[in-house]
Amino acid sequence: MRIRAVVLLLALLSFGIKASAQLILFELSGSVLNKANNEPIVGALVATHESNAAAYTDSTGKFVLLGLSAGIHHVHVEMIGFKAFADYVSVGENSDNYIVFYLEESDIELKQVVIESEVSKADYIHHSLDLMVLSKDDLQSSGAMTISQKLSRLPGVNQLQTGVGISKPVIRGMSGTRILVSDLGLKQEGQQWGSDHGLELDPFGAEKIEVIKGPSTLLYGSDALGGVIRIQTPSIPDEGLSGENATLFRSNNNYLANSISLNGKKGKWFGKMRGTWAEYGDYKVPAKSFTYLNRTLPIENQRLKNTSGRDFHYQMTGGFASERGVTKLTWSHFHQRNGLFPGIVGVPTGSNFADDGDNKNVDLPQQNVDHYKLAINSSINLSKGWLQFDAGVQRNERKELIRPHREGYAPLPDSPVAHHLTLTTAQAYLRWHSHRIGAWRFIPGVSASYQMNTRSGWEFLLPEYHSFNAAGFLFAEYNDEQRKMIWNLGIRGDYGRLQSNAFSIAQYNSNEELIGFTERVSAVSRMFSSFSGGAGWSWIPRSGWNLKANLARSFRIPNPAELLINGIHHGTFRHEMGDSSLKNETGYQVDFTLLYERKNVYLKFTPFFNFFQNYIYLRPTANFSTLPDGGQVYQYSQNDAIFSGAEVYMEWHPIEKLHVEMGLDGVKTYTLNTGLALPFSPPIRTRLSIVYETECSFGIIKGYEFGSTYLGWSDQKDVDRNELRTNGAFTFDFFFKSKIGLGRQEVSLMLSANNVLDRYYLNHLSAYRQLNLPEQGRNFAISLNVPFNIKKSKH
Amino acid sequence: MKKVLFVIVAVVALASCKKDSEDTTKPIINFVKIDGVVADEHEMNAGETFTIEVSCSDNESLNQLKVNIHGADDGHTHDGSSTGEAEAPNIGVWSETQIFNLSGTTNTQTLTLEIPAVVAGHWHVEAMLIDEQGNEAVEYVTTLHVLNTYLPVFAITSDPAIVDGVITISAGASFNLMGTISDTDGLGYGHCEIRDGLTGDVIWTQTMSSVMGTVYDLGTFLVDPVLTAGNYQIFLKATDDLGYQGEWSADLVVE
Repeated sequence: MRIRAVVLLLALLSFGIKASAQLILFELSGSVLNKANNEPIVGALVATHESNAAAYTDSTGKFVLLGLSAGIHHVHVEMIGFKAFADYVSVGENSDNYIVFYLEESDIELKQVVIESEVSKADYIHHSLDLMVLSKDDLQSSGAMTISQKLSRLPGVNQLQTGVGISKPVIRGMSGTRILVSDLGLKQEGQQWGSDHGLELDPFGAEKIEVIKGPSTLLYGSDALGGVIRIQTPSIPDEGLSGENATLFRSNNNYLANSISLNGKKGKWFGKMRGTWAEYGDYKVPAKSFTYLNRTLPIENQRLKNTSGRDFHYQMTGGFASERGVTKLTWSHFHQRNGLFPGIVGVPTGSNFADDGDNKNVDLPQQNVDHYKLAINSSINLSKGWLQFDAGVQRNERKELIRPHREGYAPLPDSPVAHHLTLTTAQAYLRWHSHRIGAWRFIPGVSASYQMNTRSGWEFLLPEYHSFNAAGFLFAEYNDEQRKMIWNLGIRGDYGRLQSNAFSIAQYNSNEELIGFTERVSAVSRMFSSFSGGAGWSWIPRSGWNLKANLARSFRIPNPAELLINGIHHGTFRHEMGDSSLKNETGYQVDFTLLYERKNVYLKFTPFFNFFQNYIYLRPTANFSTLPDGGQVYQYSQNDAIFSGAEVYMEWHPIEKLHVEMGLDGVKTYTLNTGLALPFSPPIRTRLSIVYETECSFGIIKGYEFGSTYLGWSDQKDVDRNELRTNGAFTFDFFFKSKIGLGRQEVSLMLSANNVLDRYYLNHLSAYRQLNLPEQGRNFAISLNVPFNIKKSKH
Repeated sequence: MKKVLFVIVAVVALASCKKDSEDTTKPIINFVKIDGVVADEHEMNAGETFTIEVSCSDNESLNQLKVNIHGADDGHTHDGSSTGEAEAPNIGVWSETQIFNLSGTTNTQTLTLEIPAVVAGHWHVEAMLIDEQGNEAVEYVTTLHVLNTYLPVFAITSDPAIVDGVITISAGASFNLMGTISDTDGLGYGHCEIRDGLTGDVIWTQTMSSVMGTVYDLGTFLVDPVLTAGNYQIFLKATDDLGYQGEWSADLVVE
């Protein structure tokens, strides 16, 4: 069966490649008109993703797309003030090669920006899962310190954080190895199993981020069980040389970051560069003390000691774009050094909480992370479709430093590096995207990855291992134009192997003499395989309405950490133990989207229900660690679990310039054997934002907007065993944003104030919540973006 | 359309059902008595035998008690706080770990331990408890201060003076230690060492000449390593004729 699938796939691929030998290219011309009055729309973007062909409409609303192969192309049109539009257009010898698009006026911001960089290459209407997009403007103007913080404004998305610098995204209550983060077309691999391990991505680097809520294992693989966060690969810049400088300051922890980028394109060649640097001090909280285990302890100067950090990141891309395709090669390096509040490391801290007179130094305990990545992203146009090839190597170096201390009678370690884990991952993905064949469209694909983990440091957590995974899938989409329904289905097969080394730890007697070694973990060799499948449906019963449903059987191969870990994880206080006999986790997931859209209203309701068989989670056992410093043993165990909830999102423009946005999300989680919730389940959250926006100019101010956001959380009383309950809270934010014209130079300025009322609150999804440490107090932020053109394009 | 709405309602309704009977009540450590006394801090002598008595209870069924003794000289605490600087390092190493399997709703465990004769400083006695469901009690920690009359006694001053346990000098500068080391058993030998504050590596040592008799006067002991700016620790170590080694230390800050 498996062999047959591979043969079929190869046949499809070779058919495409063979046909490419006689590639004949065509032009598609046409115009874009306003549906209300047939007036031409000037400056609308018309593009096809297959060929990367794109053009803006001229003063008469006309456009010409060059270099299209014969076939049915998916063409999309975008213009501010209008609803984005996409359609299939036939191009070739027997076609008109001419089309007129009619756009509907809308006050709603580009909610349906055609989402075609993600794997299924479908626009929002064709997508059967709910999908959200953060544009470059959204990302830049958020004033946030990390990517996860930027994403957490979306309904259904939260962040799991340790202090302010370390954070990871949570989608519908799932995070870590259940959320796939894709950057440069590759799955981000950086020991994501650790709840205190942040995402190694430049917060200024992303041009566009797509968030897919719900099971996406079919197209993205094992870890996309809960959703996908896809950072768009670097786009092709405009002809000429341009760039921007972005600066962000946040008052609470004296966060200062600067990011500079340079983009150039000459003919078919292009290049992009970005460098980001950030530094921040200990953060301030609206509390003078905190309570832990019935004792009240001071917070000196209202600053949480050693929560400071330093980041730097750079990325360089070189590429070539022609009618035949686009190839990009990217190199990046992310570095982060973060202090941790001494109390979080538990036994022992060897440090103190008194003010050390320097709120910017990064002391022990700390994390040092370096993430290197080399990636190639290539799309090649063929006559019946196009090939997409993404491959790369990444290396994640994680060091956890604590003050050296003796464990039992073992000698004093000679370095603060308790853990040094190096994870090297090589990945390759090959997909063929067919043009539409009648009502059908197909994407077959294969992928493979190899991973190697090595370790050093005087504490033990995870052994050395190497693993290999391979997969093949077929995704099909059927367009029933008569009934205005889109169906999709897919099937996927995965195979994985894992081999780990045994690890023994030295034993000392009370005379401090080495008496031998005991095995902490034995060598493990496991093989995993799984089939998964899904079906989706999207229906447009009438204009402005969209109903989606999705049914999936998804799976997740146990993460090496879940199988192999055995040691004290200081970031989480406890002795964590893997179970090398864990089985695949299987999910049966159903979700719906109900969407209503009018010129000034956008309403979305997205309920979901997930049942997991053999859901893997860290369960507190009834036993103590036999390690001298160890407390209770938490073991990775499997139980059936349910995740269910919904999001409601509304956008309303009572008048054109007034923008009211409301989001409500909640998820309920529990394991069926105990009825208890899973740890770190997000509370119900409400977000209400009112913004006034105008293009009025006076003086140097060229248009401005201002507004306020209310963010509220309910109590979280559904907690796992030994997990603390958290009370609800709310905060208010304000912002003012404007474009400022200084001669020919335009500058974007944003001033914002977060937690304006300086409210004291605890975040259920923060590692510091265990110590009853509150979140950041009042915070003022200034963000300044200066775009520049060194050499303008000729047109 | 109606069918779809029905499914949505059914899903949301199903999601709100829940099992209620799960035991999530934490067990309790009622007290930890050291030689029959409940206190936050206890003072004992090296070489002494003492008892630890731990009283536990749970609403359903107890499972395990862990009693652990570990050095507390690095200034750590178990309540997320810390009172101050890392204190004078413990002399000698001592650690104990015992796990008891328990059952029933109440249980008292007693263990008898002997403090090694060669140690001095302070240690934590930490008691942790879990019930059969994995509910964990709030841990119970008491501090043991161990005195040791067998060890050499240090009475040391310095120039520049020691302020709050810290000697501050400028980069490249030298300084002097003065005072006495005494031991009724008679002193054998002694040396001075400087360690890197972060890594603990020994970066400078010097042997003290003619350490003998019951009282040794340092005179003006010159400490002249060439140090760059940073944090260090200075130690004086002396061993008596019976082989007991005593220590004195201070933090050394080079500006």
